[in-house]
Amino acid sequence: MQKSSDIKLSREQIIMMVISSASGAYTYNFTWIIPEAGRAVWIAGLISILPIIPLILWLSNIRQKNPEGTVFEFIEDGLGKFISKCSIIFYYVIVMISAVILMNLFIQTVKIYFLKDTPAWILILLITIMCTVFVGKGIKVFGMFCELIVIYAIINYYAGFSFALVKGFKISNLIPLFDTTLPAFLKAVWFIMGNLSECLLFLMVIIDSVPDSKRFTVWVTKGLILWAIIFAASGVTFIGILGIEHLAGVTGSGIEIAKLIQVGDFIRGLEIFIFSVYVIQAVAKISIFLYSMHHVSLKLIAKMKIKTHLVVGSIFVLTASIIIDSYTTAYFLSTVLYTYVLLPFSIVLLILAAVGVAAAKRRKTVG
Amino acid sequence: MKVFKKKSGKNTKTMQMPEGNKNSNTNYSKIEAKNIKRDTFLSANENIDFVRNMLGSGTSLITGILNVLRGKLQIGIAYIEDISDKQIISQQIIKPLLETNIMGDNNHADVIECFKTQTIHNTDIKESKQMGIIINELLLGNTVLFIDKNYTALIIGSRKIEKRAVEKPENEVAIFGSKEAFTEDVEVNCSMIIKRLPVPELRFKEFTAGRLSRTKIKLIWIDSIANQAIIDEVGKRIDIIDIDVVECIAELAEMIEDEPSSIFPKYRQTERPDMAVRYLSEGRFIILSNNSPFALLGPLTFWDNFKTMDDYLERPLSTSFLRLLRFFAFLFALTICPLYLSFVTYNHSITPPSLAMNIAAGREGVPFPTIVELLLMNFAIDIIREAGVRLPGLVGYALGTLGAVVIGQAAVNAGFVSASVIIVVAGAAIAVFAISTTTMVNTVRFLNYLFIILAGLFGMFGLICATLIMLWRLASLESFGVPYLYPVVPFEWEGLKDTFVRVGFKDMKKRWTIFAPINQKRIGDKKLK
Repeated sequence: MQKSSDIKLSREQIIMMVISSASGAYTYNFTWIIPEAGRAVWIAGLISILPIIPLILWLSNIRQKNPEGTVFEFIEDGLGKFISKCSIIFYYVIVMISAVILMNLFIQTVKIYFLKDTPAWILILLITIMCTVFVGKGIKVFGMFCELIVIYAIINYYAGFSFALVKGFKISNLIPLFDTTLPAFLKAVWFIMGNLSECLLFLMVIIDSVPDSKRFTVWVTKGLILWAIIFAASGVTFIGILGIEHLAGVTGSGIEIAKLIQVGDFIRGLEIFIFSVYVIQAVAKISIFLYSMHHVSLKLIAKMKIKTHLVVGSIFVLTASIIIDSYTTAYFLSTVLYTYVLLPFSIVLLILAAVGVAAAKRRKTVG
Repeated sequence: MKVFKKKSGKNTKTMQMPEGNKNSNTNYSKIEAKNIKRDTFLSANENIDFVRNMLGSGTSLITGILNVLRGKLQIGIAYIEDISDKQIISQQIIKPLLETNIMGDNNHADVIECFKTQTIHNTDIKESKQMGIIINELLLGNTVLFIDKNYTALIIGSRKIEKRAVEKPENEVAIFGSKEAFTEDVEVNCSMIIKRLPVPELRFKEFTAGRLSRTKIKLIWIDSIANQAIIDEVGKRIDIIDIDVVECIAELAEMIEDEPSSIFPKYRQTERPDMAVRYLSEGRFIILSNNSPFALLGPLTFWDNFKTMDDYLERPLSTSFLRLLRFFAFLFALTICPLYLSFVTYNHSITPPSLAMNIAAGREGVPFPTIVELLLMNFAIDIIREAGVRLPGLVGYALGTLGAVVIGQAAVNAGFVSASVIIVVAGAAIAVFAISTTTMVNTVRFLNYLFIILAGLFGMFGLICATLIMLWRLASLESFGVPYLYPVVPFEWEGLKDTFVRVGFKDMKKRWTIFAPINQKRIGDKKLK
């Protein structure tokens, strides 16, 4: 397999992977913040990317000072192996938990809506095998795959909901636009930033596959803006069709809305097509988690083959997902992770990397 | 066994030879001609004896000794009658030799030069002192002259190959396109390319592949347009082929393509010279092979499988419509059976009640589950299709009618399968033929089974998973280093002008970057003043 630093991703690949990595468990747990943000939940989504952009610029700046390697190599260069390995272990565990949460939320949704009698472990096994295979050929192939499926998912999503806009959409459901307090609104923004931190964690790993820092910043920002627009548009559609009170009480709101669509006798049951977007989103995101896991674990145990790292990571996710096997547990864990863990951990990693690069530079100057 | 000893040269080598003509024509086939390391003899008679011993009598080998220059010089002549042109031998070689009276200054090298330049009326003359080369040339239909008291033999081109005339393409019919198709002769095929592209930048690189077949292969590209990195890579891949027989272009293709185990075609075979020329003009390469009436075109993208020659000969709007229709047919053929299966077994909500009632009524009394029905019917259709292809014309049609109409109807009446399954399977079977490349048709047939099985296990969820697996596979493939989904992934705007639809020629100003990185200009800036 090629060295990751030898592979350079294209603009479209970066943008699509940013959209994929930003769309995680949030698809399922955003109902958690509806009581906080109210009708302004889509505005919170749009605003939440603003504090993330400086973090992207920070990461880009660190990368500019040290073009070779990932964030963990920057930490190792400046702060030594121990801190680097500790941060890798934390990263690995957090990403694995994220993967397990998303796997459970997704599989349980599949069971609720479509395959009630199928044992969860069979579905988890199928998705794990698929995701392992999808990242097995490296980030370049996975990037091209993302390009293809994300565009398909976006078209499919809005083509499906366009029928709902004709019949079930009520502007009155959206008014007033801002019906919450500022602290509650900021709490919602913080929660969504937790979701976007998953994207940041992924970027820390693929940063050595980006052509240069300037383009990296522009492309990632474009990806985040696109994600925010998609998110906001979905939020507006959901609130417009279901109303905020109903929306707060359902999981898989996209599927619920699609179930309501019926135009004539033949356009009906569109939840099946909207559901394909959920599959794509889950598969892409779990693949990204698996890629991140095996990519960082290479730095822990360099002697093991890269494919072995990937398989071991997949087995961890598979086993933990089967053990948890609960939508409620996954939902609870995801809210804890989004509120208290992901964003602080990302900032800590960035601080360590910045200090590491500075320390390495000072050492070179002194040397 | 006689033992011939090499008398000249630094190393004395021995080689065991089969005795006389006892073993007839099988003798030479046991020894590969290129492995004969022996040099020629000084005496014409010895050389002729050696050739006779090597090739035996069953090969229609003709040998003889000519006394030329009024009996002053003996020349041994050898050729294989069945594959040599007797007219050329008698008129351009034997007659001039017998009539000539030139004799230089008794210098043997001078005699050779005189024969080459003044006596023999043929421009295709080579010299050799290697018996291995001489035997090879004889087997190719050339005539060999052994001049007495001279180690150098003359090899004169006299090849006669039975070839059929240029005929109409049978498998790739184009309504407005040329009516010429490639033949089995590589030289004739090359002439058809040169006729259409009479430019000095047209390059030909000749290879010989197959230890036994020694098949002549030609790699062709336009030097000023093609991506040299791709051409070099293809050349290297052909160079390392080490196989006994290369009978046709498909064997060669399998040896040089990326990931031959993949079910998606990564090269295209065409019998149309105009299609080959179109690929060359885009910066791609073609490969021609002796004995094959098809050209190999590459690199190929997934989208090329849906293009035909008529796409460039019809109006852009109708071409675009037909191309989209082919894409739709591909998706229809691939998904209609698994969709039907999902709707009747797992995801009932999408089926309108009136349609659901009809399907349910049709299924009443059918003993098999829908997945078994679909798999069995698809299997039956594939058997009928395969049998129809192998049978001669009218019998094939009769079998198709018998299979599709009579057996299908009987199966429904007997209650073995439901009528709706017959409609779905027949629809998929017809749609698959709207795809323009035969190899892609086979790919869809294969994928159909995978999609049905996954849809049978998990309903719509399985179908979505199958689609994702297929898309990932497509994204991971390359054809001679070019991503298979190019220009969609990686994205290139210029490429989209001739992918799903075709815009007018005036708007297709550039070639695709990946095929023609240094010369992308397709349309000039000339305008009517």
